[in-house]
This record gives sequence, C-alpha cells and structure tokens, in this order.
Amino acid sequence: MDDFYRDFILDHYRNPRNFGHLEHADASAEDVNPLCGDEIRMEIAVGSNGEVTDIRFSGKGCAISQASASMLTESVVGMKLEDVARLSKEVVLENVGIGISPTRMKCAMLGLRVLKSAAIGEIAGWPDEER
Amino acid sequence: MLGPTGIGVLYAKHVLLDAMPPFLTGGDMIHRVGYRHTTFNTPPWKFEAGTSNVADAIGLGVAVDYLSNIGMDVVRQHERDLTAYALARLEEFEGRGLDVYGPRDADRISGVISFNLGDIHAHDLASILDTEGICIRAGHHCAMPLMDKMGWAATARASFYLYNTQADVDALMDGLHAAARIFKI
Repeated sequence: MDDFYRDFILDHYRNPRNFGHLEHADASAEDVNPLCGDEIRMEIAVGSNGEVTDIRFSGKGCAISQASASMLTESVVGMKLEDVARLSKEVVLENVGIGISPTRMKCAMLGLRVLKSAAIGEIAGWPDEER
Repeated sequence: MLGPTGIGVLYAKHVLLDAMPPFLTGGDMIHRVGYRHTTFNTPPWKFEAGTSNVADAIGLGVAVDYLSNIGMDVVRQHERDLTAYALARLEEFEGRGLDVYGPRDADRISGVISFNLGDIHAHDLASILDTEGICIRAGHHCAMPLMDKMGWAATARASFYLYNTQADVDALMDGLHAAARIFKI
C-alpha cells in the first residue's frame, strides 16, 4: 500500500485539479461512500457536439478518493458524454496505478461512479441534483 | 472480553424484564398457548426462543472464567500502563499535526486512543498501518452525529487489551513514523 501513496497521488490529494464549481453546469451528480465518509460532487459543461468542455469536482475524503477524482477530471475533457457513460474502472486504475486493496476500491471508484451518473443523467434528461 | 462473537449478556431488573414483551417467538418462550389466549414463560426463557446458542454460551463462560482468574484489576492495570506508554510516545508527533481526542490521561480513559495525524485521512493511515501489520480502526466509530458536530471527517483509533504488549505500541509508533514519512509531514 505504501506503493500506492506516491508523490503524484499526494500532489493530487493536496492540490486537486479542477476543484470547485462551474458557473453553469449542464450536468451534475454527487454521492458518498458511507464506509469512509468520502463525498464527491461532479459538475460538467457539455458542448454542442455532446462533449465535455469543462469539469469541476468538489468533496472531501481520503487521499485515494480525492486523488482518483482529481485525476479523472483531467482524463475526460473533450470526451463525448456517451463515452463518459461507458467508462470502465480501468481508466481509474490506469491513473492511480497498482496497489489499491479490495477494501479501498470503493474509495477509488467513487469519483468515477459520480461522473458516470452525471453523464448518464444528462443523456437521459434527468434533472440535475441540487447543490 | 475474549469470548466468541454473537453472544452477550443482558443484565436487568427482573421486574422490568417481566414487563417487556418477547421479541422473538419459538420454543421455550411460551407458558401456555391457546386459541384465544397465550401466556409467556418467565424471564429469561421469555427471551430465549428456539435452540439456544449453546456453543457461544459455553465459550463466553470460559472467557469469563479466564478473565476472573487473571483478575479484572490486573487487566485494567495492564491496559492503563499500555495507554500511558502510548500517550507518552505519541508526543513524538507533537508539532506535526497530531490531534488526540479526549483526555491525555491514562487514569481517565480506557485502553482506547482516538487521534489524527496531520492531513492524513484516518482511512489512509489505517491502510498504511495495515501494510505494516498493525490493525487499528478508522472512521466514525458508531458516533457519526458527534463527529459531525465536532467537524471531524474521521478519526484513527488504536486500542489495547490484555494480549497487547509494549512492543505492539512500539510497532504502532514505527508505523505512524512510516506514514508520516510517506505523507511528508
């Protein structure tokens, strides 16, 4: 597990990228991981071709959940919503590398789950979640 | 208290137990069952429907005998000494964002220390300690309303008992130093 806590993970934990809120979000979602108390909210702006033009996340929690979410936001700008909705957990594992124990996998996947929920909700026309 | 899981003791005044309704139906908890009226057995049988958890009851009894034989005052003293030692060694982390929740006085607390170290989330700390072979608890500790009120996201919690030694506390401190190195605090 010490392998997991490498410098770039700690950097994303302490200096999260795309952290905060969008002035005008086209889609958003949020969720918690009751085991750890991790919270993640994702807000995305969608372009005319259905692609992610901007993204912000907010929340609090362990280094695994926050760093994973931070890195994920850097991976999806420019991506079509349909593709975001179909993202597999591999995208997170490729970002954070090896070393996540099974019990902490939920922390790592929280951001992905919330992001996909926002994308799927936007495609399906669900109303946004209140902030 | 070293017994098996899945068993415990409810200690209550007989008159109160008598007034309480059964929470589970089954063998042994009735006195008489009729078409129009049923009367229940007296406590404790009223609350022990069906096949008893015999194996665990025997295991718990052995645990009680074991602890009684050692003496709970000895158990408490051992716990107190380890807690005092751990509190003293935690001072090594003073000035590095150490928070200890509750009195730092082994005479006023049981063998449990809740703490946080710098900006290391309690679950990250527990994961790192886990790889060092040290098992602590992290999270809300069944006290989420309190944690919310105090503004604590989660706390790490180390506890000591009869089977722990000073070497275990040393291992915990080594693990905390390792975590502090990894997180550069």
